[in-house]
Amino acid sequence: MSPKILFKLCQISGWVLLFLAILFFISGYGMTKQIIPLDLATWLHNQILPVPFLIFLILHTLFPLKNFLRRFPFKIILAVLFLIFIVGLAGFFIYRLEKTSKESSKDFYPAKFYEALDNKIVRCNLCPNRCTLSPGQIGLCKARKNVDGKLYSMVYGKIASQHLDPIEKKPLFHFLPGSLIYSISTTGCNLQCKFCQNWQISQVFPWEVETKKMTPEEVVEEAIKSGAKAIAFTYNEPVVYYEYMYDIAKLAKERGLKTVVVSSGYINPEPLKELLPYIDAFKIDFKGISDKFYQKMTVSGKVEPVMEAMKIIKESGVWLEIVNLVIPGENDSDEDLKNLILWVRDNLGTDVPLHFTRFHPDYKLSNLPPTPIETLKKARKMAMDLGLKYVYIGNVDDVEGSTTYCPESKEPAIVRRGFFVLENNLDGEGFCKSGEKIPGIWK
Amino acid sequence: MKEIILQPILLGLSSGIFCMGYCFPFLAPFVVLEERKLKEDFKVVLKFIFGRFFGYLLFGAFFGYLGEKITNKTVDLFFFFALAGLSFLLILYSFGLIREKRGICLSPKFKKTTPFLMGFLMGINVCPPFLMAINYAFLLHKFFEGILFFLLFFLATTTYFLPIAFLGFLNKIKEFRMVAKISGILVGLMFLFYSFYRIIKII
Repeated sequence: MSPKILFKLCQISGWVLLFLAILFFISGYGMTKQIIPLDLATWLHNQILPVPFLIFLILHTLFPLKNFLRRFPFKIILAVLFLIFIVGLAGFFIYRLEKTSKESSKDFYPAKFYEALDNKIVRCNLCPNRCTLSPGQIGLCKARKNVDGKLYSMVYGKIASQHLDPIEKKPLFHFLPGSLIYSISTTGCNLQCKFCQNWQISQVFPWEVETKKMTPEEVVEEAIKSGAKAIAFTYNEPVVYYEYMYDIAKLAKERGLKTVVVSSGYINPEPLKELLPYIDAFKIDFKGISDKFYQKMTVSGKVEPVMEAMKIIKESGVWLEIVNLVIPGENDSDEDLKNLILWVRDNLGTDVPLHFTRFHPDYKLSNLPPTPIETLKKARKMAMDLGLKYVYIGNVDDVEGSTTYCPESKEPAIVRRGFFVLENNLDGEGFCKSGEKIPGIWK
Repeated sequence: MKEIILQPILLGLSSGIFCMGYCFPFLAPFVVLEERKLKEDFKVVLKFIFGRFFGYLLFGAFFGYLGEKITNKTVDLFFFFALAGLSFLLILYSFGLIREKRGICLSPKFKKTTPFLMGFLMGINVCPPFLMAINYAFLLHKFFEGILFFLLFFLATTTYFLPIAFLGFLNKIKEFRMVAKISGILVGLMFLFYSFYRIIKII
């Protein structure tokens, strides 16, 4: 563009700028003093004027800029900037590489339950996945890492989520009904279910989400301050933060709090047995009755270890409730439901509460429809006909399906709607008015 | 299967800019140092990308299959020897020693393959997005899925590399060619010393 045109443009845009500046001042003044309608003034001042102001400002500077560039050794300056940029970038990456190399295990916590093999390879024995990891490798759970031949928990003390929930949300219906529970989670999961409802935290590495650092002491302190009677290890799979859960649970017991684990039960017997003395209740997600279902829906699951874990929990006397998420077309056939109910009855007894919960499309199964309520009702009826005493349906607004009935007299013991208790007719020990005892933890 | 395809593409697209940033100090002086036509600049960048492709494939197979059997020390040594080689190559090129008319490498063939070799060495190097991709590939524990993962990760990150060819318009300006030469030597020396420092530390 010729210098004459640029000069003219500079002059004209200067006048336009002056005009726009006056308008900008008037609209701003009008806005604060309410001289002109507020909407009009705001619209002009905040939305309309800034854009042309900026455009004309740029046009106004073109002529002096061209003169400046002609007179100045601009090319040399730009070339030097290019040099600084490239060398600076190289320096930055060397700094990053060095920093990364120093990030070893200082942010991690020594893990339990693993064995050292040759060549600094370790085998994690926490869950049935039994990952074999070379130095630098991370387990399927995305929570445990081999650092130079030692296994570490990458999630210890890193809280990804904390809430004060109604206990019925877990769901636990025979455990301190109507109370609030302090619930925490980290990241990671050892099953990676396709229907995961908390995938934002359970399917990620700890550095992929914002976490809050809290020591076990701080967690227990916070739980007491919140007024909760218990702490729940929930949202993601607590097994993957075993060491953290263990330390918190132990401390919580000392401070008079109860502890709840909401898990899929995919854990080896040894770590489970070591944890049980510090846990008051387990809610296990019994996802399906067959290996086929576990293999299709999870990363490498088998049903047998889950069954084994439930038996161990039941035998230990720790309170156990079971949830089965009923997924349309996947585990909702009469045969599947019947086999699951029969297994629970024959191996855990008729007193174990069983919750059939409604599936909502999520994560990798967003293509499936929600479970029809009729299917849940059918499953509940089937379970009760087969002898289970406490069967519920969840994730639906159904008072009857959420109510605990005294098994003999059939009178309502605890009436619930959603996560809330509407009526509690039990005494403090869990006795119905008819004198029947309902199993659970009531105080 | 869907995750095996989508995950590396999304990972590559989200971290590719960082990937390109890491390669930039090596590639930019290389593109700007010699006066060429735009078409030739593209050729240089494409050769570099092609070299990176082979590097990535090798690593896909390496980590996807051998991941469990190799030690960290071996991998680190491998990384830093590659980085030293890359830096040395850049220094030679910046000093004009890899030219057709003079210098120690007289073969025009070698000069033509230099961008490929640099890309290959870059491809098997440790840049943070690459390390992240390794973390994911570690979880696969499978040979072909490892290769597929790195192949798609490579394709997604490549989208950020192609525009570097346009830097070639700077090689028409004398001042920039001079500065590219200086920066090539400086960057090469920085990374060469750093890789030696790390190799000594490892050994």
